[in-house]
Amino acid sequence: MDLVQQFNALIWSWSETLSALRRRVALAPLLVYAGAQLVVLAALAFFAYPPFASTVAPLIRWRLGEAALHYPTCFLALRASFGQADVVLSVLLGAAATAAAVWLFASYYTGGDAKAGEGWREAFRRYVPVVIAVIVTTVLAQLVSRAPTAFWGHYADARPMRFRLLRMAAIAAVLAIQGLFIYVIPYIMLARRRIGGALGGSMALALRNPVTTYLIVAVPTVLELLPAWLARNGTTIAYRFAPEGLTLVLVVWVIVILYATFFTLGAATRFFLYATQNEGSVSWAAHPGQLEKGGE
Amino acid sequence: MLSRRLISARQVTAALLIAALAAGLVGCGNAELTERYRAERMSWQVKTLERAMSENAEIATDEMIARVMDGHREIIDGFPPPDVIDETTDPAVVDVARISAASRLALSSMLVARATPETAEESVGESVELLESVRDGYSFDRNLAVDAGLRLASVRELTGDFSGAIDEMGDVLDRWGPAMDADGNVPDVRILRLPLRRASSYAVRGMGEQATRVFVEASETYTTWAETWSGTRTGEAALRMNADTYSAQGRWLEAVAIYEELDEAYGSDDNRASIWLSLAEIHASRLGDKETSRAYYERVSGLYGETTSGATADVALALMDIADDRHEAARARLTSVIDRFGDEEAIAATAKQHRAASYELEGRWDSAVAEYSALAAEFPTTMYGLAAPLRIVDMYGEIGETAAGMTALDEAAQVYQRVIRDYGGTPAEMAARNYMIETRLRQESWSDAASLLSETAAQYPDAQAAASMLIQAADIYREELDRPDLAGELLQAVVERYPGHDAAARAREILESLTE
Repeated sequence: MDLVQQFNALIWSWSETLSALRRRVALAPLLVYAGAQLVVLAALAFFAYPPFASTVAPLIRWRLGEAALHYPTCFLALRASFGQADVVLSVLLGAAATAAAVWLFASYYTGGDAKAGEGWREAFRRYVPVVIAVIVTTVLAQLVSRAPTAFWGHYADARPMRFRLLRMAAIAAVLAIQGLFIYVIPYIMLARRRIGGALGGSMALALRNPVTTYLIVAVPTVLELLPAWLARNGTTIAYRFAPEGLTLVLVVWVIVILYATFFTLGAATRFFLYATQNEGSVSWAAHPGQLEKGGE
Repeated sequence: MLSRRLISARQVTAALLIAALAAGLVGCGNAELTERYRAERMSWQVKTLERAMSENAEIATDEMIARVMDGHREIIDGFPPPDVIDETTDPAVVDVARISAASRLALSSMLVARATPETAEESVGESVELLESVRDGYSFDRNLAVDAGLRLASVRELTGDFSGAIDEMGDVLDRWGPAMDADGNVPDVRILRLPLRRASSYAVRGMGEQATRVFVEASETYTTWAETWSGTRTGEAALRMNADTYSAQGRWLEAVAIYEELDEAYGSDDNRASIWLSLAEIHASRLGDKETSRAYYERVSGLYGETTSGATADVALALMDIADDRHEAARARLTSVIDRFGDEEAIAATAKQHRAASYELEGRWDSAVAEYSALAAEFPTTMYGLAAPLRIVDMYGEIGETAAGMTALDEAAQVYQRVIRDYGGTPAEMAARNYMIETRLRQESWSDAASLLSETAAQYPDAQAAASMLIQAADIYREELDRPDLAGELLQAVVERYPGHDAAARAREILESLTE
């Protein structure tokens, strides 16, 4: 696809996603995941009270040290503890929720009317390869995002501007990694590819359509800028208002991530269906709507 | 039937197990952690109020202060002193105890600070009770217990219970040693100062005989500590305190001997300059041995010239040169100090002041005026910078240049006005106001002087001189401006605002004379 075609496909994918949002397609699995995130957040915020005092508190101590169990540091550390817990949650539950959402999007885009339960069933049927795909993406993204602090942490004080640039470059690289693997789950769920084939197929598709793919991943991330900025200024919020306010910031973040994920998955699935409609290796048999509307 | 029953029993068992697990999860909390969280949260809320008040004095209303005190009371009531704390105690329990003790200390201070003549007895009683509870109930934490003991001594001293204060200090000394760690490398300065503080308390009260005895005891204590903790930082600190104890008694030769011992046993680049400066000072001012003193100052200047100790030594040497009429050499040394320490306001201003004084002593008036003017312009908020404009006026007065003196007085007024405007709310503003009042009085600008006095007293109502300023303003209105009505208003204000102050009695006297 040339550049203009890529932009056209991108805008068309987003408009289709908006129409899916109006019909609340695929929201259920993402809401289940967001609900689980809120439960985890509540457990972390109320770690000092039963039953979390005997279950969650030792985990926080193990991961972040004794200081994270003191008020108000516990709220300043909430972003870190939630981030760590979310990595686990995203692999165990997020993978299935993503797979279910992809299935439900595909059903909607191809004229089907699959129910949320069907999406979950299909997701758990391919749970293992989906989890492996999420682990691969997560590990690579974590490695790249931690690289600036791990390798150039000494620049933070000595050359703050250079360090900031490095962090921005790392964020761009993480988005690129997510872009490369954004079609892995569609390949597993919709094209029934094995994990190796899905990884290779996703990278090939992303590299053939870099502009569309990168923007599908990057643009919804902009939504996260406000809660991310608020979370970065956690100390100010804690001192000026109340440390507990940081929990609210993370609740907002969860909601924003819910919508950002919706737009990313919705647009990626739509584009995937369009871009692979003529791929010989793709078996559409698994697809509930039989791609009647695919490639419109 | 049987199988139905069995299934039913299984279901009941499963339900019971699930209920037990749920109850276990809810019940098996961590009470210590929960308590610590509660305590830290309450403490944070109180600290937030305190921080807000310290950042913005306007919101430090009686209501806010009462809220802070209530917050501390809530913590104290919610978290009583622990029964036993030892190495097996959960750290969360120790943390809670510390929070409660900190609130007890904070509340006790607030009670004393906010006591009025009517509430003094009750407030001080409560404060003492709180401090005793920390001293006796929190002895697992040395810092808290020592702090409480010393505060108790201060409260007793403040309320006139001198023997109680002395006993309290003795109690702290008996219970705690001078080192905070077993190796003696972390000296406890509060304890180390205590023997000398106790002796000084007798001396200040004019109890010479007891003071002498307690000074001797203090020296003995320091000698014992120095021997016990020999070779450690505690030993070093004890030796230095012993030197200070001899200095406080005016036993200069013994003080010199101790400083020399200190130099020999513990001298290093970190402390040698300060030891030599102390020795130089004693030799010059107390023993009249200027030669030895100069030798010590020169050693500090030579070896530590780039440090503030080096600058202090150079200034002292310059003063010696000035005293011996070696003005050129003195000014060269002072110029070198200014060149090296131009950014250190206090040092540079001091050097400039002495350079100006040197010109003045030589009778080089123009140079002296230029130097004093530069001092006021470059360091307007320092002690010497503030004094410089009026020093120029005095100098013209001494040489009989009346007209130049009047002009200098006008210029001084402008300088002080600028400082008041540009450094509002700082200690420099208060000092500049005092100089400005002095300037207006010298100019015989009575109305301005009276306004400035009452305005300054209104702006700094808690300043020690506020009541006297109002009386002085009233005197001006009465004697110079023929406005007894305004004088009466100000005197009435003194009586109402400062009921316990000596100035109030004086104001009442004048008011009575006015009505007669």
